[in-house]
Amino acid sequence: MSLWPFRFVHAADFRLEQPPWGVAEVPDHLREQFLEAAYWAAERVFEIVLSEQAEFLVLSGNVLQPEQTGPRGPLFLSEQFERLGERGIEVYWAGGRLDPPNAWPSSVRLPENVHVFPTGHPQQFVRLREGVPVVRLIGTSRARGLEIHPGDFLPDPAGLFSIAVAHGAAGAAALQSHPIDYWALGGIMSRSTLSSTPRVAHYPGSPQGRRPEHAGPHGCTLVHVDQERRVRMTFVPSDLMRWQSERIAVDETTTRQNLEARLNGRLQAVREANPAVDLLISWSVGGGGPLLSQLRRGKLGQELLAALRRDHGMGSPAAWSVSLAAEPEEVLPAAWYEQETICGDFLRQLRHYQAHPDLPLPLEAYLPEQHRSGAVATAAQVADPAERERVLREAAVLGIDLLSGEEPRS
Amino acid sequence: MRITALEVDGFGIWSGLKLDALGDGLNVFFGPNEAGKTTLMQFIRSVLYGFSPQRRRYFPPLHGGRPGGTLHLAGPQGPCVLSRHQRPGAEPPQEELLLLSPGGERHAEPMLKTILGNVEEAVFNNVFAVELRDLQELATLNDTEAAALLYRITAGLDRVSLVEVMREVAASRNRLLDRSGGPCQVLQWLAEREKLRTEIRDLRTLGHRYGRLAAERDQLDREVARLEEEGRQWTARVRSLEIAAAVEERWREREALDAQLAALGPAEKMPEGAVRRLDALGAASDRRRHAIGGLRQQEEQLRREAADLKINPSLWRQAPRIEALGEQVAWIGTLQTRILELETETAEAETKLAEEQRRLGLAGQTLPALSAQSLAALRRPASALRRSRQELAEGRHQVEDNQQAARALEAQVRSALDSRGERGLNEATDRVGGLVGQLRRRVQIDERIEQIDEHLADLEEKSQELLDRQMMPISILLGLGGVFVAGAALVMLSALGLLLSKSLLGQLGWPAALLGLAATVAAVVTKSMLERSSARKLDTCQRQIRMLQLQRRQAYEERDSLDRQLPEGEGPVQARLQAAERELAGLEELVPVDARRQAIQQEAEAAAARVRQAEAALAAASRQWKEAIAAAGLPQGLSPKQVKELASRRHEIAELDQRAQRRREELTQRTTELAALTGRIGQLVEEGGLELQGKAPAEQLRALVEGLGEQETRMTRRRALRQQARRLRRKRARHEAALVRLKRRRRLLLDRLGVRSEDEFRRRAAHHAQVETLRQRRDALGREIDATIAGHCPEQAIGDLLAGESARDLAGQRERAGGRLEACAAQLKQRCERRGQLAEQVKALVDNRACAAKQLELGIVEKRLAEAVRRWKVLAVASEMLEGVRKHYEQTRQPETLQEASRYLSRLTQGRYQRVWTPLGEDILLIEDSQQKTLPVEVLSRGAREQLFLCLRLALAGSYARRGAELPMVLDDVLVNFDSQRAKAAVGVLGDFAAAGHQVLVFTCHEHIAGLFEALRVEVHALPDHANRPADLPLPARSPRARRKRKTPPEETPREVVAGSEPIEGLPPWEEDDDGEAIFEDDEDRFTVIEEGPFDEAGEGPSGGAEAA
Repeated sequence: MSLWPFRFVHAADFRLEQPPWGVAEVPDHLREQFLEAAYWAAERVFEIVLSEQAEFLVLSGNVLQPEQTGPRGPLFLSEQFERLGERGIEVYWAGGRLDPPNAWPSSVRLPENVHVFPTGHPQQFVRLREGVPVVRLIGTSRARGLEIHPGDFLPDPAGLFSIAVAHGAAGAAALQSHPIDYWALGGIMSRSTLSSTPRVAHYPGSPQGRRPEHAGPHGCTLVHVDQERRVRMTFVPSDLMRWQSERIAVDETTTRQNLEARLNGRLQAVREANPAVDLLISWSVGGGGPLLSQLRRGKLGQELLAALRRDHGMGSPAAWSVSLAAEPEEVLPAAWYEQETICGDFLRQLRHYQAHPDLPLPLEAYLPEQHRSGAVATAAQVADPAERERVLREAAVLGIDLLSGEEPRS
Repeated sequence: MRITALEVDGFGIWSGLKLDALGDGLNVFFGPNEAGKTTLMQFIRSVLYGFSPQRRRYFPPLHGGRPGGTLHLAGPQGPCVLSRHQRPGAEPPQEELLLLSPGGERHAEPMLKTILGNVEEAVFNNVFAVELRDLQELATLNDTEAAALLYRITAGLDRVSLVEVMREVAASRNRLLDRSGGPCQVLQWLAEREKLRTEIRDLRTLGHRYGRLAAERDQLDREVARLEEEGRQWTARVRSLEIAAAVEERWREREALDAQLAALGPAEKMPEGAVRRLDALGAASDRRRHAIGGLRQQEEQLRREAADLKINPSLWRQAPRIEALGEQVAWIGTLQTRILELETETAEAETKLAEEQRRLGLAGQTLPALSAQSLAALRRPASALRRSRQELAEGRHQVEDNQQAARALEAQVRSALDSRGERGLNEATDRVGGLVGQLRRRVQIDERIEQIDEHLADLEEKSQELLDRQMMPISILLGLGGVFVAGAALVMLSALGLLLSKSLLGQLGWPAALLGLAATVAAVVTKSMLERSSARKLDTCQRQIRMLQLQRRQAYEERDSLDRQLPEGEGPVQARLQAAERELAGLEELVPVDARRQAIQQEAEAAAARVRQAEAALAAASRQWKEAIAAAGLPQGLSPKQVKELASRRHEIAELDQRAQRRREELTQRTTELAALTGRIGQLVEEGGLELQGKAPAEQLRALVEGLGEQETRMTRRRALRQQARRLRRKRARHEAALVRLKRRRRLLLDRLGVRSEDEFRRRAAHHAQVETLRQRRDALGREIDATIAGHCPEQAIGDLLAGESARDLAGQRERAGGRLEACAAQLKQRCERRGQLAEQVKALVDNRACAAKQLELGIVEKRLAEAVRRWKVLAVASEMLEGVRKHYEQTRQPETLQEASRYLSRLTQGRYQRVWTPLGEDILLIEDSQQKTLPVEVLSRGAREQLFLCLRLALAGSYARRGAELPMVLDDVLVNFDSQRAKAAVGVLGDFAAAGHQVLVFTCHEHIAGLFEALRVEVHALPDHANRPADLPLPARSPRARRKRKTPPEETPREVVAGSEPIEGLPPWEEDDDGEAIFEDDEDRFTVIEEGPFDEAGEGPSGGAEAA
């Protein structure tokens, strides 16, 4: 069935109440950016809607948590919605876990161009162009504790292009099997496409990365639908602060000067690849050699980090190095385990725990008496196998460093 | 592994040195300071473990030679030769390692590790090499540190100390999360996180606050709008009053003119020039009548002449007429047809005209005259009437909408209240707010009681301590007592001295007495002050306890009082508080809804008031309209629409009327013509004396024509007369027709004005002229009034102000209205100020980023907390692993190490200390003396500690040897601080150790030490003078003095020793002097007890070696 081409912007997870986090310190000159990043990124999404002349904007939940933003968040959104309304651009909003429809404060009026999907059952809106239906949007706000049920989103009997708007997790197969042309989903902070053909299921991610794990550009998705119902998605970045994770490998021959040069070179490359945004870079140094031990134990890591911050982190836009960490060795030499030394005994003990994953790590005894239950005790548990493996590996490296008898060199 | 020989090719001061036939047991090397002992030790380490950067300082060799050397080794794998040299000229420095079997077969490098028992250099240094430096370090430690160091040796020591590492890890771990619950980073960040979360929870109330402020702001907006509207009304009122005062004089004049016009009545229609036209018509009619009279006289004369001819004169007279009529037969038929048509058209036109009049409300009336001026005068009342009707309709619609909205909001609020079982919102908010306050107070009281209890416990403990301190400590009491006694004694002695003035006391005299007296008084005062201070502190403490008890009682009472006030049986207070806060939040959300309802209700009431005003305005507009149409001369009951239609269609209706009139006139004319023809025919028949009654006019006419033919001959004479008469008749007929037309036009003129006569016409014309004059004057006044009003308000409003009693007090009204206007402005200003304050508060709320800032801080704290917990886990796992290693050591290695060390120590101290042991699970070493008394290591003297240190290191080396790592034990002047007896005993112990199968290399620069070994029949190798010794020379013999004092030849040095504490065979028996120190009976010049203290460090260690090099 041939239809009129149209385009819209799909965005989600503004999380206006949540500034970026996951750093142990925020420099003064970037504090404003941290506080405003969510709002600036959201405002840029609205700018994109206007500049791209999209017909409508689809918001797939977790836009804000009004309780935590205070009146600023709803008023900001209301103002942006009105900007779209002045250009005749409609907004279709499915609430997420944090922003159910009833969370919107009664003291702030929601403009008439905003259509909020109700909670519990899908509701549909049909967009007309010159009196002719162009597209149908069906959506629902997320009910607490419920996942997306594709069966609830009925296809259009007349074969109109259908967009389902929802927040939460769903299986790609279930979505593919249901005759909805575009699943506008939300709830994942990083951009993800579950399926792209013949039916699209897409998470645009948050317009702004929130923590170091959200590396890379973040933004919204500009969706073009042509006359043959073909969907073309274009990523449009909107973040003003961008997280980056960079890894440098060293070996036995690497010197401090080599490492400094490589760090600076990599940072220049990252800067050139991301010219207009503030960068927050997490460095990890892996491989082997004496430099790695110095990074782990001595002041070398702090000195390198301070130099990177001083040389690259104070400009505008800044390239701020968040952390610089040495990776623990994945595999230790077998001979170390055979040594008739305390270190050898130590490694053999660890190997025993690594070989028996069901053997519990008795860490509770090291907790204060009054904290052997509750939040501290819970946080001190090592239940995840991956975490257990990582802790044991880091403990092994620590033991080697301490029991080798070599003093750390700065 | 043992070293059987060494060859130094070039190392420091040594070049070409060879030491052959090193024994499997004890090997002693003697040399003075700077003899190269330390260099030799470093050479052994270098060949075994490589040339470290520190040891490369020995290159190039001082006296030449290839840098490096060779060790001849013997071990379980058999003998081998280990050579290590520095490659000449290589940069960076490179080594050449060569490990050869006796047969010259080269071994791979890993073989060296096997030969060394996998013992790394660090382990070798920590276990097998005991240097003077180690003892010096031990000496610099305090008791506790020294005890810890000695314990660490037993608890595991290779590269590093296990205990030291465990302590380091525990310290790092406890800094993150203190096992004993003390201050630490994790707890600090947990507290900070909780604090931030609480602050964020508190900041969530900003939304509710904004809701309240926004509702209040909206309410103020409505009030401001209302006051602005009132202000505008009062401003308009003031302006209207000013205008009324300005136009009052002209208004009164116009009213007078209106009265005159009313008295004159409405002016009748009077077209312009009507009088002149009537006069012209009268003159023309007079002229026609006069002409007709003359023509009738001439005609009568001709008729008389024709009658004189005596031939049927009647018929003859009619001959021309008959002939003429004879030609009119077709015309008569045409007239009859035309008359029928005209009758139809006239009826239709009259019907249409009547219908139009009925539709315009003018049924049965004449079409009124409408001038442009009268229409303009009607336009303003018509607009006012239309506006009033429109405002009334809008007002009623708004009232209906507001009432509906208010009912819906009220139902919403009522539903919410009913669901909570509440009657009113304010009462419910107050009640729940009060309950929240009480519950919060209840929680605060609980916290307060808890704090008081803690504080009370602290104070009671402190009080108990102070009570205990009431008894002054013995030491202070003795001190003060001593001062007192000394002072008193001094006073007494001074008094005695005064009596004996020549004595020393007498010479001291009064100053000594005063000093004694002062000391006595000071002791007494100090004691008193101390006692008083303690008593005061105790009293203060007890007073605080009583005060706290009182506060606690009050808190309990207040809590009980609150409990009685609070409803019972609803669960924990915290849960009730949270439930009440939720209920309060729900009620506060209803507040804006209720405020909105009230606002809409107020709007509805205001709209109702506006409806009433609109109704009054409509009535006034209707009244004004009626007056206006009356003034315009229009019939009452006409609506503006009808008037508008009348104005637009009046020309059309007039034209319709005229057309009907023209048809009637033509009908009359045609009927008249037909009647004239018929009458003429009848007249001719009658006058001709013919009997033709009952026949149609056409037949009569034919009869006349036939009769005329018969009389034609007789009428020839009279024809001329007849023709002349006909001409006269025609002329008269024309005049008569013109006269008829003139009469008809006059009649038409009068009919148009609706008058019956010319007199009435004349009276009406005069009346019309008078009315028109008055009206023009009135219109001029009206324009002036309009110009003064200038559209500010409707003229009717000014008329209302100038009407009635109120017109007399326009100034007063102006003043009162001005007052109301100022009051309104003041209220408006107050509201605007409040609105500005609210706007500021709202702006502050909107701009408030405190929550985001707290979130940011919370993120930082959580990140730090997560990192700390993650690091703590690593450290805790490391601690657990290290603990396991330590247990292993304690269970397997430490007991045998301590057992062996105990044997050595007992031997070394001649049985004074029997045993070294450690309590299970404790990190301390204990010593048991000969009386089975247990002592901590801290009580040992420095020498005893060094002896214990040596024992432990020997035992540790023995432990490694039992595990297969058997390496030579290298001792560098470790006996230097031992007294002679213990040095001798130590020599024996070393002999025992060597006899147990361990190779021991002892370096010493002290002759008496060397002598002790010689006394033990151990060959002492004197290191040669490296400066003068030629290369490849064997090791020089011990100095002659030493050789002289040695009782047994070197070759007879016994290799075997008795194990355990058995005395060494061949040694003289131990004896003790009076001081308990051991002496060597046959070597009196060595009876020197080595003093503890500084000693010569020259030539010791790498620096010493370097200095020597």
